Amino acid sequence: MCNLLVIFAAMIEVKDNLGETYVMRSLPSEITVGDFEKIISTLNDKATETLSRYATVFHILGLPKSVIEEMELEELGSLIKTFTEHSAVAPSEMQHMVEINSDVYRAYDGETFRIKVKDMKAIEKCIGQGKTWIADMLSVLFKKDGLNDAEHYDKNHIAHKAELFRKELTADIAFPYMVEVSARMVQAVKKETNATTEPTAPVE
Amino acid sequence: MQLPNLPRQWSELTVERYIEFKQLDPKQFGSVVDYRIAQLCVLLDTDTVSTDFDNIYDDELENIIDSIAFLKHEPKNSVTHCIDTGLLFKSFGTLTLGELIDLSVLMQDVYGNFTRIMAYIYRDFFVGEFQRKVWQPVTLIAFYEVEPIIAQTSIDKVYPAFRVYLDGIDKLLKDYSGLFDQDPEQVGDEDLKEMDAEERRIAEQENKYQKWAWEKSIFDLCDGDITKMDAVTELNATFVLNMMSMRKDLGIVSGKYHQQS
Repeated sequence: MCNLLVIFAAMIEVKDNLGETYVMRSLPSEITVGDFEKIISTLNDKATETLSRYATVFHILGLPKSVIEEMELEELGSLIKTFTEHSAVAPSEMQHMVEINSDVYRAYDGETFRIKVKDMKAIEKCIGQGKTWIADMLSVLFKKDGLNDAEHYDKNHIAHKAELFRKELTADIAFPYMVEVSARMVQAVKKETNATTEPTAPVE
Repeated sequence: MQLPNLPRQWSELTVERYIEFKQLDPKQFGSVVDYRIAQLCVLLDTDTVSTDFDNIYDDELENIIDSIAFLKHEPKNSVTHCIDTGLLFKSFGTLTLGELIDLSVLMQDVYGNFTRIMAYIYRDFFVGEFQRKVWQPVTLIAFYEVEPIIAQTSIDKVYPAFRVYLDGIDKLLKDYSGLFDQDPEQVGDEDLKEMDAEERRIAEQENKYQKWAWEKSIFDLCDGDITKMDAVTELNATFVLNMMSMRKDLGIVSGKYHQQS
C-alpha cells in the first residue's frame, strides 16, 4: 500500500531571497491525480535521500527548482517540518460520477459504493505491479456512459482512461476511493489470515 | 447469487474436496479475490478459472465467504469408529513401529498423502481368539480400492481420527526425540558448498544418519539380523520406543551391556 499521508490542511508560503512569495498548492482539489501519484511515489522512494525527496515534492507542488536549490539547509529543514506538521488526512465525499470533456464516467449507481469482483481483481493486479496505481484504480472503477462491458474492460480503453484521469481528476476525488478500496482489501486479507485451528479432543 | 451446491458445514464436504481446498496456496494467486474464487470453485467442484463470480459485487462475495467460515476451524466431532464402508478406526494405542515409520513419512505431506494416511487409520479386521481384533496388515491393504472410497467420505467423519494420529505421532516423536533426532535439520546442498572439507564430511555423515535413522534403529534392535526386522516393526510402537530408550540409557549396543562411565 502507498503512504496516504499527503493531503494538506494549511497554505504554505515560501519567500525567496529577492522577497518574492511562492505558494505551494495545498488543497487536494488543486493537485491532479498524476501529481498525487508522483508525490506518493517520491515519498516512498527510500533509495533517495530524505532532503532530495522533499525537494522533489515541493517542486511538484509548485515551488520553482531555483528557489529550492537556493534554500539554506536549515530553511529546507524548516519547510519540511512545516509541511509534515500540516499534512493531514482530509476526508472528502465520494463522488459517484465525474464529467470530463462532456463525457460522463460513473463509479457506481445507487447510494452505496459497491465494487464488482471483476473490478476488484483488476485493481488488485494494478496494485500488485508495484507502480503507481491510483489512476489505474479510478480507471477501473469509473466507467464511461454509453459503452458496453467489452468496451469498459478493453485494456487500451482502461489505459487511455488512466492517462486522462491522471491529468484531469484531482486528489480529492481519488482519496475516498483509495481509502475505501484499501479498507476492503485489508479486511479481505484479514479474513483470509484469520484461520484458527481448534484441535479435536483425542477421543478413542 | 444462489449457490445451492456450496457446502455449509463439514458434513457436506468430501475428503477429496477438502484435500483440494487445503492444497490451494494463496501465493499462487495474483490477488486475494482470485484466491477466494479458486476456493469457491474447488468447493463447488467447478473450473478454478470460472468467471461466474466476475459480475457479482464484493459485498455479495463477502457474504458467500462468510457462509463458509466454518472452514476456518477444524471439525469438532469425536472420532467415528466405523465409516460407512465398514472400515474400523484402529486406535492409536495399537500403532506398530512399522506403521509409525510409514505414517511419520507420509505426514511430511499431509494433504498429498491424506487418503493413504486414512487407509492406515481405518482398516479392515477380523475377530481372532478371545474376541481380539486382528487388523489387516498394511502390506495387504488394497490402497487402490480403499483410497477412492475414503476420498468420497465426508471429511468430518475421518478428520477427528486423523487428528488423533497427527497429535499422537507428534507427541511420540517429541517424547522420544533423543533417540534419533540429535540434529533434526538436514544440512542443505547450498550450505554444504560453503563448508570446508572437514565440516562437509561431518555434515554429510550426519545427513546420512538422519536419512537412515529409523533403519539404523531397527537394525540395532535386531542385533544386525535382518531376518528379524519384520518382527520388530510389527511390535507396538510405544513399547519399542521404550525399549530403545532403555537400551540407550543403559548403553546397550547390539544386545551387549556396556557400563557407562
